[in-house]
Amino acid sequence: MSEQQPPQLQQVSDQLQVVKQQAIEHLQACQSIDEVHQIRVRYLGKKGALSDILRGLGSLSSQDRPAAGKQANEVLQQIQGHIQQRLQAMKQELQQQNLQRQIDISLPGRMLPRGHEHPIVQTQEDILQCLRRCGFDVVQGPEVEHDFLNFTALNMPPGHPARQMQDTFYLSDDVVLRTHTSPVQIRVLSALKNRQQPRVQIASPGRVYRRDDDATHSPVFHQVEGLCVGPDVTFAQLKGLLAQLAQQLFTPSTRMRTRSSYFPFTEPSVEVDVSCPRCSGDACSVCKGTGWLELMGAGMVDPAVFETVGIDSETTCGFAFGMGVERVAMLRHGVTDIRLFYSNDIEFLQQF
Amino acid sequence: MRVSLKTLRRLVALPKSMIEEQIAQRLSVAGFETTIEQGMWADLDHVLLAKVAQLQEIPDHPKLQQCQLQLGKQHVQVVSAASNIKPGDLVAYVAPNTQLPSGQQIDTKTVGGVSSAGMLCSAADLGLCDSSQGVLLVAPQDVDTTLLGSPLGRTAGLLDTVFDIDVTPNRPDALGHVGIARELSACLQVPMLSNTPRCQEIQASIDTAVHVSVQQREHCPRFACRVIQDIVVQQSPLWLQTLLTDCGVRSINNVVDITNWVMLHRGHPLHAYDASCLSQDRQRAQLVVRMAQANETLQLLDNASLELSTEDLVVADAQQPLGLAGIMGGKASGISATTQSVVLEAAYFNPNTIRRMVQRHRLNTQASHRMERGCDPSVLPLVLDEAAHLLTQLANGRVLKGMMDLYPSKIQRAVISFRPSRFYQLSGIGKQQTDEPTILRLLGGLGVETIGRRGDAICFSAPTFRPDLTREVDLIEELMRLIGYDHVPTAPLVSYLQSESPTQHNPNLLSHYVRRCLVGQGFCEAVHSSLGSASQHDPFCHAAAATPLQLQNPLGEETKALRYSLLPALLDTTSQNLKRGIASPRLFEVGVGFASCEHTPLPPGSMPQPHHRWAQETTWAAAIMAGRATPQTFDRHSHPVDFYDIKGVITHILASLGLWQGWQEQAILFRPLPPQFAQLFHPGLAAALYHHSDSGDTQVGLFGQFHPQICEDYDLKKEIYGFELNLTALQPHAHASQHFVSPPNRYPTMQRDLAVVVPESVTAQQIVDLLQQHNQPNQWVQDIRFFDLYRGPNIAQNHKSLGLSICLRAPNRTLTDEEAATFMTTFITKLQETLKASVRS
Repeated sequence: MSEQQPPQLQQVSDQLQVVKQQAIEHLQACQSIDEVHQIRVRYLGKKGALSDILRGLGSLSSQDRPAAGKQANEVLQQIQGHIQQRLQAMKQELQQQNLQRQIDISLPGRMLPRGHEHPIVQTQEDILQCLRRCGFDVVQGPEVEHDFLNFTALNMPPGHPARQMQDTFYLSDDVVLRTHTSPVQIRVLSALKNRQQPRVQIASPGRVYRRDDDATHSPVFHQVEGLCVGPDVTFAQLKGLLAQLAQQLFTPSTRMRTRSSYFPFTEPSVEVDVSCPRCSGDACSVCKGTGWLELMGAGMVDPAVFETVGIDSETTCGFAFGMGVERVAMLRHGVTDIRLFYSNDIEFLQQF
Repeated sequence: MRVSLKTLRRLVALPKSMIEEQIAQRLSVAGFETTIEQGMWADLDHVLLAKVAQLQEIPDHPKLQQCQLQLGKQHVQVVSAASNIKPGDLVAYVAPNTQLPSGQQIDTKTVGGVSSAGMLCSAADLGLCDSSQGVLLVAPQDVDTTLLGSPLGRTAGLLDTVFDIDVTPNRPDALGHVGIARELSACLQVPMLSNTPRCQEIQASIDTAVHVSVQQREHCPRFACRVIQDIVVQQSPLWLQTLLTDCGVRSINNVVDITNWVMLHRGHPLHAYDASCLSQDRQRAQLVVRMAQANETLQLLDNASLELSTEDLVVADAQQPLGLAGIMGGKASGISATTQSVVLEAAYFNPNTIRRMVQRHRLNTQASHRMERGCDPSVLPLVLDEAAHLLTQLANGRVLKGMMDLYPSKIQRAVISFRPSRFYQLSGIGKQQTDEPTILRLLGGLGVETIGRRGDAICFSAPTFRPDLTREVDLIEELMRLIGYDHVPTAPLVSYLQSESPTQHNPNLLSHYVRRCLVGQGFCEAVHSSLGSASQHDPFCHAAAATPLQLQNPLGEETKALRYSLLPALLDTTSQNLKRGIASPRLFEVGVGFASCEHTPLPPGSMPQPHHRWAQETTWAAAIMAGRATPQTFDRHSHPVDFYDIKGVITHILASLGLWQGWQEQAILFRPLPPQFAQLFHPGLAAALYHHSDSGDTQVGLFGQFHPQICEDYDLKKEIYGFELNLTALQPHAHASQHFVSPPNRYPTMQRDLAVVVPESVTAQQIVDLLQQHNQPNQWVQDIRFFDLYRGPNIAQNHKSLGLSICLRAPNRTLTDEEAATFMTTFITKLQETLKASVRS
């Protein structure tokens, strides 16, 4: 074949082979992807070796030109193929190298500081969450309260022996730090006086104050109180709600029992116990071996309370219940000294 | 109230099979929280019954006797100083190597040259009374004398179980053994056992011995007394001393012990006067129930002297007050060792009268505790008979015939109309569970009698010992109590979706967002007491020009003041935590602070309205941070917390409340610290936050570095940063959950960086303000970010270089490079003109 080629064509053909050979050798000597790209420019670029040859094709006869063009094109494609191959191999090698890297995975991760909710607030929010699901609106009231709203309106007129049950802080002769969240009941109900059969379902959380200070009593503590008023509210419904509440706050298997008690603003009045969440009723140190823990007070709103706020107690009834948030938090987390909650020791708080 | 189980079993037919735990449990469920305790003799098994066999004098020791004791087959020898023993007496003996209840160790020792193994006990040694003369003598009829040497408590049948019962204030009837027995009878449906006392009277009539007049009938509806003569005041027998001790009352002498015991037994207080100490009129002792006169004084049994007022009710003789009615007797007419004749008083005083006196004199006694809650006016003859009977038995007394009983208008049983339908409705109990005959039977067990019917209602009458039963709902409660609340069915609650609860801003929700935001930024939530010392809280309150609030009756100086700000307690806690080794504490609290506020006093008799407030209560969010801004890691360093870290925290909060619009014009403004807070914060490294509105700017917070003096006061060695935000003030402006948003803009953004050199006095805000102005026509600026602040070489003196990055984007198309370039050039020109800025290349 080569002998049949005219001498000029043969010359071009040789040049092409030399260029191809050089390109392949250069490619093999390449160390980096950048060098490969430089070779692409050097051989295939506008000013590259192949372009030089192609520019020289003009001097060929018109018969030879197509053949030379075809040959040049073949060489171009071959060089391109080699470049591609080389690039591919180098990328793979790089990836291999990259995958060889290893670090000490046991060094600690970088963390942003993590915050923690206070267990009392957390517990209070949980209780309110349960009550909201049951249709209760959250209403708050002032902590500095009038003696009348804290006591008298709740069926504890001055001198009533039940006032001694709650040792009170006074700011003046008739202004106190509220001893319970129950004045909120009065504030809400008295806004509805003269209403025919009012319907109310509220939960009121907040701080309350009593002159007590020991391992299980703090002079400042938190309560959540619930009030449900309407024409057909029953004690059986109160029981149903509280059972649900206890199960949501502790475990689904929590059992509940009710004991008779006395609060001036409810009648009948009961204390509600739950089966010990620690030992589920088998008796342990948390429940002092009884299997039960006192959780809250509850009862049907005393007719005298309705009468005080101007609501007809014949057509309206209701129930109320209240619990100490600290108490619930102590039971849930196995805390035995209430003062720990108020120490605000970060080492303690970080556990919540 | 401490109750002897042995006595209870004598009063009510408790099933033999019922153990003490079950009885206590039943009482607890019925509303009488009961703890089981053991009587005093449970721990005294080492006190043995012994008989004095022989007594011998000890030479040179006239006060001592050598005493041979018989303990079953065994004999022991002790030396005793007691003068009240003779051969044949039964005594209480403790062997060596034991302890008395007082903790005194008993050993074998030599007294007066004679070996003494153990000791003879007095009543005081055993804790039966405070002081006693001679050793305790055991009456032969009280013990089995064949059991010498065995534990005295067992032989004499003194072992008992004690119920410590929490009696709620509405149940004065349960402040005696009989009342508790009645409860058990009703709950367990078992009969009461008869216990009506009979006292033997002598011929002579009481009319010859005493004259009583009651001047104030409204205060003293019933007054009764008996007279007992020829009594011998001495120590009570062992069984009575034991009963009283088990019930928590000290034994004094037989007369006083009897009045105390009858009170504990029947629940009604009694008082015994020494008849010889009363003024006489024709040989009759005089008693008057009257109001005290001004300036009268009374020396009480406990020696305290009481100034009486004209509102005090007293029992007096013709000359002087003898006692504060229903509360405490006076010294002058008290029982003494020489008393021979007593006037025994049982009276029913108006509970309100007693209550007022108790409050006025701050005197709480066993008697007043019962009297102010309401005793049973019908029981007076019974308690007098019981006490008189015991005085004949235990003090050789002779009871004069008859009883003075001034009871002009009888206190009637309360009549209550009861609708079974109301009971079923309120309780949720069904008719088939508790039918009408059951209702009658259950109430009957409590002494509630059926009188008749009126339409649907049944008329009941309540016994006088239950002053708490006056209304239908009281009977409903009694029924549910007897049925047992655990037997009331459970029903689902039908929620009122249209509850008429007051619609109001929910401050709880705002707090919730702030708390969530701070926890997300690494802060631990703290909860502090609202009470602290005035010295701690006052500076923060005064700086804010507020008036602090203080308690009238604090527990101590340290908890006297109501907090105004949450920062003092947080500073204290931060200091504690730093000392415990927490290097970078971050703490916050959301809570209420207090200050005094103007309030008009309520007209007497009017009711406070729901909007009335007696203090200014502000909800604050406050936080403190110190140490490093981010945790140090193995390969990165972290800078110490500074002003811009705390500002960043606040900005986050504002954003979460919808109060932060990025670089744009703000509703919240940062301004230099007002001078009145310069004692609390570093004046140059702190700032105040204001809410801007057309009606004026309101201060809503403070933040920055605490004043070095404050840090020193709280023993804080580091630089401490903190803030407080007034959530109450922010409340109306925050819209944390409800605001409108725009869809994301898909056109490309362009970022143009710029370094400008400006005089030190130019603030970043001035540059931002200028950019806002420049942005007005086109609204291309998306954001501006300061990425560099530089002072030093190449920057002129008193100048600084600020690097800022401006992000541009048109709302509805792609901006061209030329448009961006023009925007920047004109902005730079404005910077040069307005702020004397120059651009660094």
